[in-house]
Amino acid sequence: MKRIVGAVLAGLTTFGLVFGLAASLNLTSDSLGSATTVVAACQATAMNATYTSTYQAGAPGPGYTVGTVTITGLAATCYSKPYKVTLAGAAGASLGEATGTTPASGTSFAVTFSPVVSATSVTAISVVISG
Amino acid sequence: MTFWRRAAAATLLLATGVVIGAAASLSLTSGTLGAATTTVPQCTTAGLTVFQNLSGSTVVSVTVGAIPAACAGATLQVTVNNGVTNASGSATVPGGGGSVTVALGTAPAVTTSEQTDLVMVGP
Repeated sequence: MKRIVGAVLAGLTTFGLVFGLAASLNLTSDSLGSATTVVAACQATAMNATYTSTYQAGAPGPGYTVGTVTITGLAATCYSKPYKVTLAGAAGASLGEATGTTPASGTSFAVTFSPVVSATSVTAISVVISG
Repeated sequence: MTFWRRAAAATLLLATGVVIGAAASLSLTSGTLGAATTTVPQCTTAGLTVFQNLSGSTVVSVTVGAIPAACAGATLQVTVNNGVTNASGSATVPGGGGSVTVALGTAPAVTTSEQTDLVMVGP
């Protein structure tokens, strides 16, 4: 029995190699590696933006401007991470951007825009926190 | 070595080959990334009435009227600019809206080309 099975295996191995050689092509390959992972936000709870308006006689005034936006509702999971806040106007056009790092404590942080943005033009705000 | 041991060794080699094939995947981790955009709402787009209250030849306060109820609780800031100087003040819009008189910090002189700016912030 063992001899029969052994002979069958030997035969299959042999023919397998033969067939393998007969069908082989010359092929090289660059490296290829892939992976997928989830990109998650640092917090799921809502944040809120409030505005500090200041009158400015010079450009972009005369009129009221926004120089500071305060973001509240910051969770500890978003501490010490880079952020960007954008104030946008008509058609989503950027009126001004401010970047920085979220604080290491507390639930709010102030974002300063320089130059200031015309309050009349602001229609939307965008916030991104990464890291 | 017996036949069955050889067969087991061959099976193990095949299995190892499969594992090595799977090892071609990369290791990947990711930092967090969260983004959001929201509109900045306006409590009204309707026209408001603006009256300057004079004391002699200076503007001491400004009355803003026709404020809708949606603006209740907002802080109304008003600035009068006469081209030479400007004066500002603020007040809270009462529940139900209506009209609000904002006293100015100083009283700028009345001129022929004044500009009055106002903004309502919050709540």
